[in-house]
Amino acid sequence: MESFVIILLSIFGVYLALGVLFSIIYLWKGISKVDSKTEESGFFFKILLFPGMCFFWILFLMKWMKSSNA
Amino acid sequence: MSDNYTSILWNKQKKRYDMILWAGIVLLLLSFTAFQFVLYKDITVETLIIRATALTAIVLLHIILAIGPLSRIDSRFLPILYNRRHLGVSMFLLALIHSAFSIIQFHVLGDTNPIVSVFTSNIKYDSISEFPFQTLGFFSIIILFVMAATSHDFWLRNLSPKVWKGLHMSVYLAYAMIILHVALGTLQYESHPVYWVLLILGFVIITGLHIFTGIIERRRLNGDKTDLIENGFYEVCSVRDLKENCATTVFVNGENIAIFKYDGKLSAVHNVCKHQMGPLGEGKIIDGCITCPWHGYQYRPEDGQSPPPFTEKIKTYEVKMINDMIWVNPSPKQEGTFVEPAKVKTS
Amino acid sequence: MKENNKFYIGWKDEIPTRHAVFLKKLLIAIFILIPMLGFIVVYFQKPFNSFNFEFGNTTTITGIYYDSPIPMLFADEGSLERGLSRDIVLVGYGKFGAKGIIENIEATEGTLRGKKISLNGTLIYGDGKMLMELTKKENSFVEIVSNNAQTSPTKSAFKEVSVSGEIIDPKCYFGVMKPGEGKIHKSCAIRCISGGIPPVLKTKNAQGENQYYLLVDQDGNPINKEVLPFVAEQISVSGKTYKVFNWNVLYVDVDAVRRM
Repeated sequence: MESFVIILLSIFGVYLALGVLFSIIYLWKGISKVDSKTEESGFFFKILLFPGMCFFWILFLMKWMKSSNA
Repeated sequence: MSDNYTSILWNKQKKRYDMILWAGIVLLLLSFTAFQFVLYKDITVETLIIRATALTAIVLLHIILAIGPLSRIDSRFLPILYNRRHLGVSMFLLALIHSAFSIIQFHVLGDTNPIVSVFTSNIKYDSISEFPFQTLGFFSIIILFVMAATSHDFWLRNLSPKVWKGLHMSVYLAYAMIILHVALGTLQYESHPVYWVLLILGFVIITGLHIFTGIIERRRLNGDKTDLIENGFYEVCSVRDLKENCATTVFVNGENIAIFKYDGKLSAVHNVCKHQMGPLGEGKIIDGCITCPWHGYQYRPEDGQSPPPFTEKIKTYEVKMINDMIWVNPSPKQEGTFVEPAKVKTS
Repeated sequence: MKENNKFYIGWKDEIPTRHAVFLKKLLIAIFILIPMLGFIVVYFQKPFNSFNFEFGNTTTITGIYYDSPIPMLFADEGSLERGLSRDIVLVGYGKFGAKGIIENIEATEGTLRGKKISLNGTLIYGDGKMLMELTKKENSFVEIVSNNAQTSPTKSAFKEVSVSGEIIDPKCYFGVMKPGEGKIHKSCAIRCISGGIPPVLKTKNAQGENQYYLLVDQDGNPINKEVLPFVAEQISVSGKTYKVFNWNVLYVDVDAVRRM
């Protein structure tokens, strides 16, 4: 059971780590291209989004790619 | 409502709300601490922090869950609902401190990774009395984290209101797990009946409020309309039943519709606010706009559009009057479509 | 617009009077109930013991080191405050036993068994029992005072017992954590025992006084992972026991342990 838990937690850990990386780049560069309402939003607002972005980063990666292709 | 995101849209009410909220939190934490040091001076600081934050968080959670039903029963509770997200985030922060201290206290500096240890130290998942209650706590804090992290309107828009609402309904799953976490955890040691009474009382109040509100909500809707159909229109009620600037609500063919009476006219819109799915039909026409009772979002009754510079739109429906009776066509128009209001003619 | 004054809108500066009046009464009631709730929750708790963990303070003790049945230091007379027990169970830093640390010390100093040595660590004591945490790990070793090895400690004659109670970890129980027993402490006790801290069975005698048994296996050797399934549960066990210093040692057959 322990190895099963370790594997699952490791996968989740890697996912979150990738999320952290993505969120830094996205909140800096990509977000205003996907949601125009963020264009004039401040730094603290982006900090507020950071935790959720690490969790949902895949969704926003897809949105960013879609908006780049459009 | 905002045309550009800010971190928090402060106003006078929210500031007052937060001051009172945190005064209450500090009062509970301090009084709990004071009583501990007077009655049980041998308590350790770690145990005090773990218990104080747990108690405060669970009290807040009960208030949060009670507000929704209470606001439907009595609109005087609405000011507490208005800034409920700050209640939620505050509750999460306290629960996070509790979780962090518990994991540090009971799982670090051992022979196993602390997070792995949360799941594997006690593996009696097939027992009730020995069930690993900390696993329930772990999953609850994950849910509460996701909810707190997505509390901003940015997430409402980018996850879509339906997905966002579904996500935030998982608070009920977190609540169930937290009740079990307490029952199978601390109450296995602190076995005085008073704790069971408090826990069960809290659960009964929350469940009872939800059931009661569900019943009165069913009665408030005018029910399914399947008879008296004329050209796709369904009869709703008498126009005399409507107060000026107020609405009646009806559920027809899967459509949840609010019909407002104002300035001698009738307009019908989707009964669900675009913001957090509040009950528009329980709102009022203020300054010519339908105003949601939850957070004050506004829509023009004739086309379902928010007044500029705001961009939210809701579905509209055709409505007519025959004699004194209001009829509505449940086939919705696209969000933001202008529908000529029906004129109110009373015989 | 009296009608509209009764309708609550959050983004306006003021709340309508009927809401404000209601909320004022509600908030007063809540703020009265809050300290009452705090009092009720505190009052009915199980009392905490007055055991001690001298966190942040280390003490140097000189005594004879024994490694059987578990790492222990029998302190010289007068080296501890009066009233404190001289037979000190040694435990490691965190949720670990002392074995690894002692082995590392012995790698450079040679065997310590039976020798008079000085160790520096954090004292943990309560209910007549004493432990020392080797807080500075290998640096807890101060010196060998006398190389003349003493014989093993005197063990009393064996007798058979049948006892029931809870397996605890002595480090947490005797002072580091409060409470250091029961289901809420179960995970920590499992971590500690798994890390090498010797398991102890806490029971009550006929007079209702606490009695403690250091658990060992059928050969009298340390037992840890084998008892993990029973930690923090009410169990009954039979076996032979002997007394060394102030500690009862109980031989345990894990297959014969019964849950109550």
